[in-house]
This record gives sequence, structure tokens and C-alpha cells, in this order.
Amino acid sequence: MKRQDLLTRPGPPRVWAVMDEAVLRRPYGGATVMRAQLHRLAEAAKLPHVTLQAVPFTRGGHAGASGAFSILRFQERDLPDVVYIEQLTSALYLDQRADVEHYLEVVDQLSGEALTPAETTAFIEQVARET
Amino acid sequence: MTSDEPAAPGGGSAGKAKPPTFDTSVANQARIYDYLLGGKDNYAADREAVDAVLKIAPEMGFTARENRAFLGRAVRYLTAEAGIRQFLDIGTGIPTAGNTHHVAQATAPESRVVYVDYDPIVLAHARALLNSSKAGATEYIDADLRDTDTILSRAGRLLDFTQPVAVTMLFILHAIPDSDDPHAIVATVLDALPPGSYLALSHLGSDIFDEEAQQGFQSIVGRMSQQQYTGRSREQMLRFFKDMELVEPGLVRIEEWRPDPGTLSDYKSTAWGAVGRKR
Repeated sequence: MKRQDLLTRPGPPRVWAVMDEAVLRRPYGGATVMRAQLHRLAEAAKLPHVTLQAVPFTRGGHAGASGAFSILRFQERDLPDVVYIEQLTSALYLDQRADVEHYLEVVDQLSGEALTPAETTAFIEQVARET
Repeated sequence: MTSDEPAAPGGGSAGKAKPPTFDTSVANQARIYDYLLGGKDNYAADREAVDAVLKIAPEMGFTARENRAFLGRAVRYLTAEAGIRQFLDIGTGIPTAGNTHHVAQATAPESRVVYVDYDPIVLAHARALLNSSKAGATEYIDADLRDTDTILSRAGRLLDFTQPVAVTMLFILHAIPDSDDPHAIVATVLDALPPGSYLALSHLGSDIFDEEAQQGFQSIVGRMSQQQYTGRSREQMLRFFKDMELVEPGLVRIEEWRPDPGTLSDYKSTAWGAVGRKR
């Protein structure tokens, strides 16, 4: 919840997320809770600094199948991107260019494979109706 | 979105080109430009190609930055002085600071901008990052410049072709070889637009690029990049503006086109730039 506060404070970070349809389908907390979560997601997608893209099951396998990660990018030109991976008991930060580039490549590939942001909003609403 | 085409450097430029395969082992036009501008959306192969080019043509970094500055001045002129509110930006590239709709909407928030690119990764970035102001609108078209039917029919959904439109083709026509008749492509797009519409072009110049450096550049690009380049002369550039009226100062090096006061340096770019008005 604390992390979500970032999105509504002044000068929010830009968030661009690509997610598997499985994330939208597994009903954590039951159907009612999940429907509310999906509506919340669709609302967040309307924020100008938030971009969501979903990869539906119908697209088959995808480039991000090896697990979730984040790439943190800073506005400053000379600060390199950092890859952030959460693990069960710790977190991993990668900042070597050769490492980071593998993850950048996955994100580039994924964002091209995924539904467009406009299609994703419609897709989330459809999943909510089916939940 | 995906293609089974092998990513042969320079392949697939004849006829209706296929979109470039996403392949980070080969340099790519959009990522090369991103690296030259100091962006972070590029890979080792792109940087390797650029570093090789900069060794023989060190002015290329300046040229890329000046092309971006030319975009800013041209779009500002078109919005603030020519009163244009509709833009067709063909060859969008990876988003960076000062994209077309940012510049246009800073003067006229209601401006509508259609971005066109044939590179699926560029389009993904554009859709994610080039969001319009509330008063205006942006749209994105996945199409090759050679496919003018697709571009015009889809752009017509957001833009009103009974009102003037500014077409910007910056650093894209030099990726179209003579065999694909770039002059005919430009003419087809302009034919669809009413009088009072504008065309803004920038292009690597064959006659303002040192011959030896140009050959070295072509050879590096030929070996290392997915796209090839055809530099064009002043005379060939002027033919793009056939039957149009050139906005002052006419066809000049990009940095000399209506420069902001105090910004001209001793460097010279290797690119032509001009803005023309359809009669």
C-alpha cells in the first residue's frame, strides 16, 4: 500500500508495467476482492504517468516467463539503469551494463508482444466481468 | 508483431519493407539515434556501430542533436506562426525529450499528433510514453513510410484532412533507397492534404558530408545496421518540395534553419533541413 502512495503524490515516478494474464486471473482473496483489485488497476491505468500492458494467454509463451523484475531508470543521463529483483528473503540489485541489457531486452521484446495500453484497459475490464 | 525474417543487415528494403526484427545483435536506426542523443534505450551492437562512425565522422553526434533541435524549432514555427494544429510525424523514433506533441501542445494544447513508425519496439515505447495533453490527442500507426495507403487511411481517423496538416519526416527519407522512389512517396502523402499544409524534412546530405567520411559511414552502416542510408544532394532535396513554397530561410543545414539567438556554433552538421507550404 505504501508503494501505491507514490503514484498519487506530486512528481510521481513513471510506471510502465507489462504483466501476464495469470496475474489478472488468479483470484487472490476471492472473486469480490479480485474484482475490486481489477477495477483499481483499470483506474490506475488512466493516470497519465502509468502505462499497463497485459500479455494474454492467447499469445502463447512470452519473453518474461523467467519471473518478475523491475528496471529502475533515473532522469539523470549519467545514472545507469538498475535491475531490481525481489526474492523471498532479500532483494537483488544489478547495475552492470551487460546484466541490465539482458533485462532491457526482455522488456523491449515483451512490450512489443503485449496488448497495447488501450487494448489492455479493455482487457482488464473484460477479465473483471468474467471474475 | 513478430516476424520470421532473418535480421540481415540492410535486408528487406526493396518494395514493401518488412518491419525490422527485434534483434539486439545488430545495430538499429532508432537505437543508434537514441544513443547519439544520450538515451538509454540502446544495446552494445548499437553503441559499437556509433563509436565506429564517430571515429571517422565525429560531427555525427552534433548532427543528431541538431536534428532534434530542428524538430523543436520547426514544430514551434508550425504551431505558433503557421497556426497548424494537426501533425503527422512519420519516423517517430524512440521517445526522448521534446517530442512533436510536447512541442506543439506547449503552444497549442489542442494539437493532435499522429505518430508513425515501422519498428514495433519504437511503437511500444511511443504508446507507453507519448501521452497527449487532455485538450489534444495522440495516435500511433504501425506502418512503413512506403505504405502510404495505410498511413493516410488510419491517420484520417484522428486528423481532419479538410484542414491543413503538417507532415514531419525527420531523418527518415535517407533510409529509403532511390529504387523505392522517395519523391513519389512524399508526393502521395502531400496530395492527400489541403492547400496550406506543410512538409518539414531533414535528411543526411550527400553534398555536405565529406566524401571519404561518407564512404566510411556507408561501409560501417552496411556491415552493422539493419537499415541503410542514402544521402541526397541539395537538388534532390528541393525536388521533395516541388510546387511548394519554402519557408524562409529555405533549404539550409539543419542548425541554420531559424536558429535561436546565440546558439550557432562553429560545428557544421551533415544534414539538410527545410519546411515548405503547399500552395
